[in-house]
Amino acid sequence: MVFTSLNFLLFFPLVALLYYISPKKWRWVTLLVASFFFYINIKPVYVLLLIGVTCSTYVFTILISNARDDSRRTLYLVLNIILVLLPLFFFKYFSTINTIMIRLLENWSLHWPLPEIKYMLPLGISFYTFMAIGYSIDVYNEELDAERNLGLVALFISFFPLILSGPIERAKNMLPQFRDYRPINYENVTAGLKLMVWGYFMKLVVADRIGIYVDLVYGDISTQNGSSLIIAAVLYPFQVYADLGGYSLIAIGTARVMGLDVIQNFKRPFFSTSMAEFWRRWHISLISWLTDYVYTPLSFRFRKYKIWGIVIALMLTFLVSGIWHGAALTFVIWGLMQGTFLSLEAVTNKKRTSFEQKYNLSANKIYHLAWMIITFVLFASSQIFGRAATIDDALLVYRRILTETGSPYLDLTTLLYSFIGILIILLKDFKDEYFQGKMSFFSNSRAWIRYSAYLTIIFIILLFGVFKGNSFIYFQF
Amino acid sequence: MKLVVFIKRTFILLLLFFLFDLLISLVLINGLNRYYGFDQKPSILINGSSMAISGFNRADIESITASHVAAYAQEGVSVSDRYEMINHFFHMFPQGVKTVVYEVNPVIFSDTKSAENVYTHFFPYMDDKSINNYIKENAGNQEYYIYKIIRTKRFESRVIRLIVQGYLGKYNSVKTNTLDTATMIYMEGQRGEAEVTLEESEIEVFEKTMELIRSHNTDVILIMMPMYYLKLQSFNSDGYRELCNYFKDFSSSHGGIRFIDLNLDSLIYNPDYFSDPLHFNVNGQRQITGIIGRILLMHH
Repeated sequence: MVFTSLNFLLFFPLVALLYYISPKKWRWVTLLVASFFFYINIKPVYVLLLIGVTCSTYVFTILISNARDDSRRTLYLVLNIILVLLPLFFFKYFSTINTIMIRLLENWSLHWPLPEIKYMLPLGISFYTFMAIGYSIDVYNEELDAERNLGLVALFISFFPLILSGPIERAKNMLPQFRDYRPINYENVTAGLKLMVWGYFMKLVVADRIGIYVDLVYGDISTQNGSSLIIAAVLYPFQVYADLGGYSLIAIGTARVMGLDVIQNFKRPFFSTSMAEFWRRWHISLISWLTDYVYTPLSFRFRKYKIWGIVIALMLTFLVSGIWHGAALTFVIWGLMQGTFLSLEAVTNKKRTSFEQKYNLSANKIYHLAWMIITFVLFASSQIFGRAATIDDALLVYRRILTETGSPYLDLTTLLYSFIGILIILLKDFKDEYFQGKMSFFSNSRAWIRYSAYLTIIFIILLFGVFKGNSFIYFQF
Repeated sequence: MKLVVFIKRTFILLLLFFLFDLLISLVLINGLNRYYGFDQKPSILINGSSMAISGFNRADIESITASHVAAYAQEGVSVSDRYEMINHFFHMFPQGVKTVVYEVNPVIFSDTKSAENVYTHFFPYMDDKSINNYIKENAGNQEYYIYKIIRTKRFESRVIRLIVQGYLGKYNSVKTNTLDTATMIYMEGQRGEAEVTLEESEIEVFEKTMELIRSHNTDVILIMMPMYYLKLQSFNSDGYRELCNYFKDFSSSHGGIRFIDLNLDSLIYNPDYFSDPLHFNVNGQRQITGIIGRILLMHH
């Protein structure tokens, strides 16, 4: 079951209703049953992995909590991380590593005993694995007590709005909310529904429309010229934003309807004036997870190298981010590119700041706009590695963009709808960035404006939405 | 208290939704009717597949014949789908028209299946009983009821484009590119000879369609649409001859039905008329429209 299916539109109101009419003490049980039902609907067998990860995390967090000496606590943490990572490693990376070994040994005329195996990646495994690891580390760091209720741990890891593509939540935010009684709240319900509607707009009207063009161009790079590839490269970051951003809003909105607050995942990323700022606004839940559990410990470890310690920590953190995204060298390069951009900014930060102060540029709008464009170009160019199937394909895209122009492939209807969709999203983000609380349609004090806005967006979704796909980009990660 | 307010507001919103759903769908169907030429009683109906869409310029045929023309053509439709289209047309205009131009092609009786999901093209006309039954047979239950209940959902973005064209008065589909013969030769070489078969079941539906048209006291012109000669040659020549003979025999044995093969040398050897081996570009459309216009003028 996915958010864009009719099944979900029937499932969710029913769950919300059951949740609110359940006895206070057992509401979490309603959510747990609903979450497992939601996940089982995708492929029942994968629920076994989910149960395995949950049990391992439950047992080891209690062991960590009960252990008296540090070495034991560390041992339990490491054991849990290994156990929880095993399914992720097996399903996500084993096939790739195995294939690489076959190819390598073939070159030396050696026979690798394992045949080429392809597994379907269990949906959401990268997300719930990170949530489970984050929870274990938090218990290890004594930031929260180990949860003694197995059902609540299971609910945290399997919570249906978040399990497939995040946001990657933290136990210290979710567990207290699952324990608390939350009475039905009109503001929460309407706020949640508004977020969901906007999320559906982003996904169905913008992301899936852009996807038609991007998929076609990237589907056969060898026949495309540089102009078509530039258009696809510019569109792709917007597609990912509308896709994952849309998914996140639906997830956050779904939780909000039930009175649960979930971390924001995007904060108007295309208004960033540096890559560092961009990564504070893009896929926030992943980056904050990586910051807390990878970057901070690494930068602490390498602190004696001063700025170069930060550079090493940044490169390694984004290497992990790249590998998390996919078992392909393209993602490794993608991660290293992000690390390089951020490292360059870190190294030149003082000079940039003094330059801005010297010429009084901090309030200069054109200067800011220029940096926004530069930031977008850097990200869009790195996303070529994120989208292309192989390194050769990605290099071919760069080569064609730089050397081969010509008339682009023009699917006018798709491009027109895509650009209008992007414009609407950017205008909303612009308003939220610079005029927060003003010109609000969904929260306008006049009822007729609010109602018109709801109906307009619903009819735009119905008329211009692409309802053919039932997938989200981050399902593959 | 707030729960009551919430339920009340949800009810109002739903009411408004269905009201606007109806109003918007009326505006949209009006535009689509204009595009197809259903906005006033036509004298001529053109029915066909994508080959007809690329070949006929409705506005030009109207100016040549000085008659209102309806062009009800859809991509990927089979003979059965076209029976439903003709049936739907006569539900709208039971008094019939003077002439139906019915496009035929070498594979008209070969493909027993229409293109995938072709029934979705007919969602906008779900209020028609026969179209409704046709969709019910082809779509899944869930899909059927969604489109039945939410009217605006029947108009997908491809149809919106046609609606805009309808309101702008631009009825024809024009491609400007010219056939890439080198690629075509390669592609046809890869494909090999294509079979032309005469499936009994398809012929039966075709004859039922002709009967339906004639029952409305309407003449039929069967037009074998031209295609680029290399494509034409790729079809099995015996099969093609048998198909043409069938149409000739059928038209001579039935009053009010004519068969014209437009695979004329002056058309099929000129790649400048085609956007791909089967479809015309703007130059080819001008030629075909002129020929059809003159045929209709003489016929009337």
